[in-house]
Amino acid sequence: MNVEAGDIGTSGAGGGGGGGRESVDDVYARMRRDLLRLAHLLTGSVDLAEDVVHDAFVASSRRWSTVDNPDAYLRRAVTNGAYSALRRLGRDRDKSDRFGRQATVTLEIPELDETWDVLRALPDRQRMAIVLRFYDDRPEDEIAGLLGCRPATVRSLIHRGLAKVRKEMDR
Amino acid sequence: MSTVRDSAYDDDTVDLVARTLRGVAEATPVTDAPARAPRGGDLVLLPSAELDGRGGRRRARRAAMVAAAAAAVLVAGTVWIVRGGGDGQPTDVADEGASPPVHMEATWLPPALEGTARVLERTPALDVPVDAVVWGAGDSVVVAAAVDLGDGADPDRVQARTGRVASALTGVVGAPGTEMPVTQVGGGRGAAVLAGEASLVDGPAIAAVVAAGTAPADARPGEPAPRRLPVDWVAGVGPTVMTVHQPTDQSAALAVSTVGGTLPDDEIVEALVPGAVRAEVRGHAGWQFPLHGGDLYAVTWQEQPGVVVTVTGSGLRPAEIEAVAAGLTAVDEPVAGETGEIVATGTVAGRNYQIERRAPEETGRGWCAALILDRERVGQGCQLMVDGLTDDAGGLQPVASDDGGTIWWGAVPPGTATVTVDGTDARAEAIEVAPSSDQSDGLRVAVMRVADDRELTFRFRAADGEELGTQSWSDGQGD
Repeated sequence: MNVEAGDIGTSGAGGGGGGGRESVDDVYARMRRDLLRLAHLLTGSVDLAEDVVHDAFVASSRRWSTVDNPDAYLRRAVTNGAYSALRRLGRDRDKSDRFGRQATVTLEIPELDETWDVLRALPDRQRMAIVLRFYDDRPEDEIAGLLGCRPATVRSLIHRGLAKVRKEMDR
Repeated sequence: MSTVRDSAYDDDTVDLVARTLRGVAEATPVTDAPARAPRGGDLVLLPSAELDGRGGRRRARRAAMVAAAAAAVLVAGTVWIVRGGGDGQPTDVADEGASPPVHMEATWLPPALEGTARVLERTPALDVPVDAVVWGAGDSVVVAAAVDLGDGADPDRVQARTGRVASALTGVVGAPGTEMPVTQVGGGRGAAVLAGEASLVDGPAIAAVVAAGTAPADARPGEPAPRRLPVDWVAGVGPTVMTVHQPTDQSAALAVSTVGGTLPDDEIVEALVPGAVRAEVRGHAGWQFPLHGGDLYAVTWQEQPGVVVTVTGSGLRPAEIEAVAAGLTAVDEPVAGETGEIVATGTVAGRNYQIERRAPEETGRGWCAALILDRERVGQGCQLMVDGLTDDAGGLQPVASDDGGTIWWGAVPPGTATVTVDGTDARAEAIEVAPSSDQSDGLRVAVMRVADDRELTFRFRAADGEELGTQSWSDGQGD
């Protein structure tokens, strides 16, 4: 099964595999790629993404028997892990410099590459809110829960982030 | 996957962003993965252990270990001197034990650290005895330590103390593998175990029996006799003054710690740290050694009776670290209220406080502010990175606790008028320490008591109610 990010719900039993309960190894094989993509977008770094996904599975494996919805649990773990990893990295004012030192990808499409540069340079919470809303299709109240803020703050974060993108692209 | 459409946002920008995100996602490189998912043990790992040995986080791990080597948690983005536990937990200032020794500062820094922010932290002696032993030596070393807060102790408090001990020991137990200690808490007792990769012991099993009540010395029956490990000299266990220098990209880090204690016998040092070499430092007997497979390098010596100094670095050459040690000088800190100007007074949690400031020309590092609580200086900090406090940043730190609550203080983003805490009635007016000519160079602080919780979110607001930023805090225990 090719799991698209938007296919993964946040409620209901089990995740993606159908039938009997999947082992952590099966879920790892099935979800790792999609979680790496999400983590890359959230952190702006391929290296950090690998670490975040690794940690998410380590944490999940400890309590696998109690995890009702592995897909939702892991996506939440990756989101939380990305947030924690970024906080550990510090709060550089010049995010472009910070991320300039870390591996990411280029698409060879100038407009999209420039947009990605702007997104990576946004304050972490603005970028995470945008990724969770427009890539992961999460509603604002759920994003609020993930980021530890209110839905109104999520809207503010997204507005400010999009405004920055628009401003930079209009230059 | 379809693009989310939301009338609340600009459609064209949303479309561009969504296309970008999908494109980047699909282009994300995916390396071959092991057939099995990575797994952790059954025990709670310390935050430092979460930074396990994967290449992508090597620099962060090394930097974190430098801080751990001085038994401190480096709070990026702030420069506040905190009198509190290195585990990030507040310490009861009425029960702080021996006074920390004078702090020492570098008069010379390696080029990689020139102009970097400096974090200075005072840590009182751990407020609970530590029973520690060591078996074996070098790459086979095993260290087990126990703290006992008694039946009925707050589990979070036990975990915090245990974590602090484990973190502190990572700075003096040098074999590969020991940077990932395991801890376990049982009732009012906590255990920390550090085992070298060549020891082949089951660290979690040892931690479990120690946490359950077995003395560390009895945790490995049939093994060679354990040796008692004194820990009063370990930064973060004994009273500690520590300075950390670190550039924001974490490419290097340096910690200078001064601890009120006595270096253990030579055989203990040699057991703890493979590759330790005796050395004379500043005319005193000491040691030079690599830590954790060479990620770190340290120099430690007995500066004077009862005072151990350690310089630990990562991303630096040993010669640079030794040069830092040679150039250290003792710094006399001002006595509270004697040299500074009191700019605010008040009460918090029924205790009198004063905010003291010192001018840039006096400090040489921007405006500095101190919190004097009941005539005792419990925290201070300088302006170095105040203009770095941005969207999700704040510099509040716990400095004292009482039953069910904690006093927080520290820098708030420029322009902040009030600070609130989600889900509580806690509210504080920001105090201007240094005037702001624009929104980037002022220094404002806040003092407030907040009911204890595992997670807190502080919100910083301007006078017109605009939210300027937030600061999230969790106790860092568990996941």
